Amino acid sequence: MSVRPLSPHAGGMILKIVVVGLTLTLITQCVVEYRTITWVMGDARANVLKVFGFWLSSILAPGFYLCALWELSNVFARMGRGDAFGPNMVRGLKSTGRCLMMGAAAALALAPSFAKWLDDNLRGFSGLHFNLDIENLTIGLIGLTLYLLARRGVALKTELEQFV
Amino acid sequence: MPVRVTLDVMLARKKVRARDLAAQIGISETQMSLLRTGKVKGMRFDTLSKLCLILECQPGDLIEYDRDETDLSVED
Repeated sequence: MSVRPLSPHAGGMILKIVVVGLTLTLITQCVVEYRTITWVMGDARANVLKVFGFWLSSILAPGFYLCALWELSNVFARMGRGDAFGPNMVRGLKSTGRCLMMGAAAALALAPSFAKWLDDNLRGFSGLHFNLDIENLTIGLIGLTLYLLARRGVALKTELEQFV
Repeated sequence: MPVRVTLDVMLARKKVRARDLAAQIGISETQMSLLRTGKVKGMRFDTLSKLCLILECQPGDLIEYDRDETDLSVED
């Protein structure tokens, strides 16, 4: 029995639904974690910074990854509409790669640094802390590869256009 | 480049206008102009086939090669 391949348009739609679902899940998880924050009594400024730091550390990296998936769903949608490989498609792929790289950077450096700052009860920023895990490093490198491939694709397309 | 497009000669011989030929083979006038002046990197086989069909000629009537010993050392 042969399985019919998923059309790019359907793939894009499914991806958008997945992104919405994942966003809601992320927000739910963050809200649950938010309740575990230990507040500094009588220091409103510290508490505001804690809230800011919490959201930044817990939502930044997954947020970028979700943006990457959303951009990718737009690329699929364009493919589904029958758009040729052009500037819009390249912009979408580059944007996906950029989001993956920024998400990885956030997960590898920004989130651990903010988390440490929060753990120290905001007693001075102790510099950047890194969490060099393979998953985020790989995602970042995939993002970089996608970005570079999109750029190479533009060069190839320009060369192809010189053939009549 | 030692490969020259001699489409102009054939157009004159067959008394066909470049604009009409472009429309017939489905390329833009700009592309046709670039092709006639040799300002393209290459020609697709399907374009070549259409040109040969409409102009009733062979590929060799549309392109010529000037022998150049340095061609073997040229890289992409």
